Amino acid sequence: MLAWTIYLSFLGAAMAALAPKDRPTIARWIALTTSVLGLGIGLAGILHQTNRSALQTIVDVPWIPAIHARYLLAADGISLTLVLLTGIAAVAGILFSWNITHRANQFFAFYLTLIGGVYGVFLSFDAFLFFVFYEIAIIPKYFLVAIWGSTNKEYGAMKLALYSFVGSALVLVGLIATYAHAGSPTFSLLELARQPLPTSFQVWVFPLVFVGFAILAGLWPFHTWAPTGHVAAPTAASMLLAGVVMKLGAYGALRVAMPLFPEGLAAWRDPLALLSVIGILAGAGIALIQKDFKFVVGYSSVSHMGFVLLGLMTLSVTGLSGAVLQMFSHGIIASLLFAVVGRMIYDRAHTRELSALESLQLSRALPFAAITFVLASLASMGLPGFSGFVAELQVLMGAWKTFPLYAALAGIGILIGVAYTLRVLVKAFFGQSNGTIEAATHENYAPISIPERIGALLLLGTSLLVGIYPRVLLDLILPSFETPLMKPLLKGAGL
Amino acid sequence: MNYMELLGALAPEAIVVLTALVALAVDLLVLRQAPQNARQVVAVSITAVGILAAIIALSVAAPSPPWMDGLLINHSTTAFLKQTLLVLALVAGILSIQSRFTQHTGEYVTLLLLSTVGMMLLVSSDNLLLMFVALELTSLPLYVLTAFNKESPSSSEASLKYFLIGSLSAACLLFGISLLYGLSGGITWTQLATTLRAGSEPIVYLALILTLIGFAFKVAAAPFHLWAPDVYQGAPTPVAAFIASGSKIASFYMFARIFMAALPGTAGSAAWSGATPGWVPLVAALAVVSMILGNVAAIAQRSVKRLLAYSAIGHAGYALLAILSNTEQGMGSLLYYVVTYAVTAMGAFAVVNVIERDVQAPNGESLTDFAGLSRRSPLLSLCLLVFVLSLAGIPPLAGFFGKFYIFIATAQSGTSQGLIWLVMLAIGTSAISLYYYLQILKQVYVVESVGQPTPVQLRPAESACIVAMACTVLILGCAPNWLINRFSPNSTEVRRAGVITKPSTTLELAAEIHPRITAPLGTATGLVQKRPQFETTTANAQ
Amino acid sequence: MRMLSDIPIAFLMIAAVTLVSAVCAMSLRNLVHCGLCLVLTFVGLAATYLHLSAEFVGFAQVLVYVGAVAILIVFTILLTRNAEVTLSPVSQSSLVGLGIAIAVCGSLVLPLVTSPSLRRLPAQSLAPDAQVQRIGEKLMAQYVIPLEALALVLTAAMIGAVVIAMRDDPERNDPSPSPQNQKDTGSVSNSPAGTALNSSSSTSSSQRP
Repeated sequence: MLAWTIYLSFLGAAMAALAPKDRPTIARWIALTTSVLGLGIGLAGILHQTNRSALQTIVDVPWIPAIHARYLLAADGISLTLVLLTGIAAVAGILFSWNITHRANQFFAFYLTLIGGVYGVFLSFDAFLFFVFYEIAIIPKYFLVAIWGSTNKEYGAMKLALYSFVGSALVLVGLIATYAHAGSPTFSLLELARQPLPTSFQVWVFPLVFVGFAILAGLWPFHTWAPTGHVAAPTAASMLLAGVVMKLGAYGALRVAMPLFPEGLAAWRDPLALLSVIGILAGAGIALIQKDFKFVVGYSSVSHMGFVLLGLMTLSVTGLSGAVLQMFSHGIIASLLFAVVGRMIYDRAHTRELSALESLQLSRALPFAAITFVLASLASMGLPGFSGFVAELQVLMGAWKTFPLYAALAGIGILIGVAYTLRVLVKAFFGQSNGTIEAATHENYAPISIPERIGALLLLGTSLLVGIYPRVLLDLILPSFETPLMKPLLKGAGL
Repeated sequence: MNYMELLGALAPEAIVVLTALVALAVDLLVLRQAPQNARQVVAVSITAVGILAAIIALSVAAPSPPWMDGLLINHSTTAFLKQTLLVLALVAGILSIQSRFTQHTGEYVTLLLLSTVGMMLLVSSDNLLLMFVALELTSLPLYVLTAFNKESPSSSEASLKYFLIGSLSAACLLFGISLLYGLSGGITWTQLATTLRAGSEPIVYLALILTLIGFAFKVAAAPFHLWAPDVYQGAPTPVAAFIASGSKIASFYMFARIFMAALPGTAGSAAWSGATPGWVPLVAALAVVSMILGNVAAIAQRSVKRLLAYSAIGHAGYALLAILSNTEQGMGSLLYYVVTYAVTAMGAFAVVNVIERDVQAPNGESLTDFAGLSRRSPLLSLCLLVFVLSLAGIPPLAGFFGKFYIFIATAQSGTSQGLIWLVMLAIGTSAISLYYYLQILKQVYVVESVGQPTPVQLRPAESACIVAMACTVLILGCAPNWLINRFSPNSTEVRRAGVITKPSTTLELAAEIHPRITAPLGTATGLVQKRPQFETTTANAQ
Repeated sequence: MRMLSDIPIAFLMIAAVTLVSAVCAMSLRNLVHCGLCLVLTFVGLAATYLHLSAEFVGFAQVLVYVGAVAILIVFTILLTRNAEVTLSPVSQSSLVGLGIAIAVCGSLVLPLVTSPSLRRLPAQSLAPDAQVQRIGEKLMAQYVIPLEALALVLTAAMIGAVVIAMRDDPERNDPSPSPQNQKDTGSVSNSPAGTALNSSSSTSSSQRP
């Protein structure tokens, strides 16, 4: 049944594309319906996951026998967590792009295509199929940013598309080499993981595949697409980029690169952990000095994704489940932050310069936005009670056992995170006014609309729920490391 | 075999020739004074009927045993390729309705069909003699068709360039195959395969290089690509589309077969460490230069047709990878690739044709003429999106799987994945290519047209063709099995026709196939009487 | 080297005449002279065939090319063009061209000279056994498909030559073609027609029984 998340999204995309050009409402409702249905199916899939430790096969039919590719969709707890994230982010994104009227039918067509590709990636257990969905997700991103974006949109869109494509090219090299090298040619992840590959081979293929995926996850120094792309993108697209697309990369690294090449992973583990810590610190440090509100959130994404990558490198149950939880948590919080910045503030004040916002005293004009952002930034800082706290704590605990120094540095990263979050919070909402604000400026701002409120509450509620009761997700995630695909990972670390 | 049997085996080709002559006669004798548009419609209708008949004849024909000396090979793969070529020719005909580049409609259709017959014979031939004649029959009408737009100097210039370079390449090819004949004493694949071995004789390599140059010209592989950008840009767009699609299929098929089936003993290896001389490293060099040059030079282009020309050079590089993999799987991937590429390129040119008619610029279209197309014609721009993304290799379109299959075939061939460096290079250049393909799509979807968008005029037949091709690209990408199974390497028919893959088994296969070379044929080579001498010497040399 | 001494003087002379006249046909300024040089080239080729004891091909070459095709070319030149055509001078970078030509020639000749299988003397006499009747039988039976394909090549070449040379009805050409335009198409019109015929039939020098 979970497969219908994919089909529904593509179906919705086709319907939105065929919707009349001058009636944006129709396309809007088509998009909302399909994404809510997708979310519902995802939830139902979680509830139906009866045998939690096993991999649940959804569809498994031969697809292209000539290259032994199968149409193999399956789900374990990690997939389900991310499917749920995609569903929530997709619904919220549509709610926050309710005001799009310019070529709305095309907007939602591209949007739903992207969502469909993302669902496909999270559910594929055949490397070829995985790659197909992974690439399907690239092109809609380009159009979403290039057509509906703002600052420097064509440059940002092209950079985003080329980085993604170069990343997937690296992955493609690795996949083809692996296929050619495997004793019995297959693309099934489970079977590939079972076939021992020579160490010398793993050592050169693993970094290709891992870095190829991690480019999309914002691995330093390949992260530069992320801030540019996020800033250029329209609100819904930057919500998806930060909320879901960056997770594609981390998920690919966890699902494909790490189980298939355990010995390569062992050889490259230390440098990669170092890179992810540098990412945490660099992202946070750069965010501290940004002048554009959206750039601050963009760089904070790089920093938070560093935690995911560091969690992956711990190779312990605590660290890995922390990484997955952080993917989910950051997906929710970053979506919310971008929604506030892009939709609630920028669409009304038409500026994102912190210095300009400082004089506007938005907390008075847009109290709902201010409250939302305060809560979101608390979550982003990793305050207890929000999802970010549980996730980052687990990553740090996992890292402390293996890389104590890196764990300490990542802790410093959290402190810087507090600093830059408070800085933008004060500057953007509680600035010192010179007393020259005309009330008219504020009255020009449209009130926060109902869809925006629903979207914000949906995201905030999810983050709170997971923060207060993380077992909702951990019960799903933890058994996933017992599947034959993931289990050898932990053994490889000697734990 | 008598003449009637021969006529039966050649029925599709005969139908097409007949169609060509009928179209010419009707146009010249009956419709001389009719308005141009009516003449075009009548000529294309006659073509459609003839092509349909030929396609039916191909699909009902039982595989016939090879005509003497491997002169005519018919099996399911060749039948399918011929049907594809016929469909492409028909589309090229339909695209030219209402175009204003010529008033010689009858001649246009006739030459188009004659060129198609050349391609069909090329696909069927297993013999150096017929191969060369068919190649000429393919090319000569294309040279003329390129010059058909007499009002445009660039059309004449392109034709002259195409003709001169094409003749030069034909000369190289002729020199090469005459050396092959002299060295082996035979002109059929099996005769060549059993006698020619890589060895100490430099003349074998000379023959290989010359033959290779001839084919590299035909498929526009760098550095023998110089004609392609000018011809694609200067030729009337339907002609350019046919050159980019039909002639590519036929030339690549013959290219692969002469090297894989006739010259397996001289293959050599292009492995990164431990390359050995032979045709494989030569093809690898061509592929490397084509992939890099085609994809890098395309970035600088401002005319879409020229951009497609450079992209075609890059694509020729990928297809060459399939040839140098030198396996059955390589052959299958090559055929899948060139067929889907041909459909995609034909579709892209069809869209360009519409735009060109729409803008009526004196210097042809340019990238900026596509600005805002998505507002002017959503259907056309969606089809262009499909074609361009397929060329860029984005799933789930056919171009993606074509490349993927070729890369798999290349990576798996050779010992210990020695060819993986070529795959890496190909994937790298493919990543570059996304940039310029996105430039086209940027114009179509992102850039707004100046002023009020006016709808693009589309004819029903034309738009039906374009949509059908876009759907084909999508369906073949989602379900590539349907096409792959037609080129299934396990089919014994293909084996008999000489798609020989593992070089080691060539001799046994040849022995299995060729007891049928009977004595009268074996000795019937008195035309050039020096030949027996070479036969004896090569036999001694071994 | 033994091989060099075996090359008969007659062959060298014929080859020299053929090559020199071919170069002249390509580079002379006056088109009529070019045409005449082309005739000489055809004669040289015919002589080569005869020297190789391929009488039928040799005589066919004389009859078809020297007798018909070449004369046709010269007539076409005389009839369709005014004599004062100024061709652009031969390429400025003729030295580069010469260098490339020598390099290509060298790389063609070197393998031929060094290959062991070409050093041997003919194992048997050069007496021909290719009678006209046998050629005809071969063409009509075994090689009938290439023969038919050649007929199609000639048809295509003929149609193409007519189309390119024909001047279009001015009624359809809404903008009257500029003189520059006319000259361009004119200069093209001749060469493909002439050379197309030439190339197509040279590939099939023996197709007429």
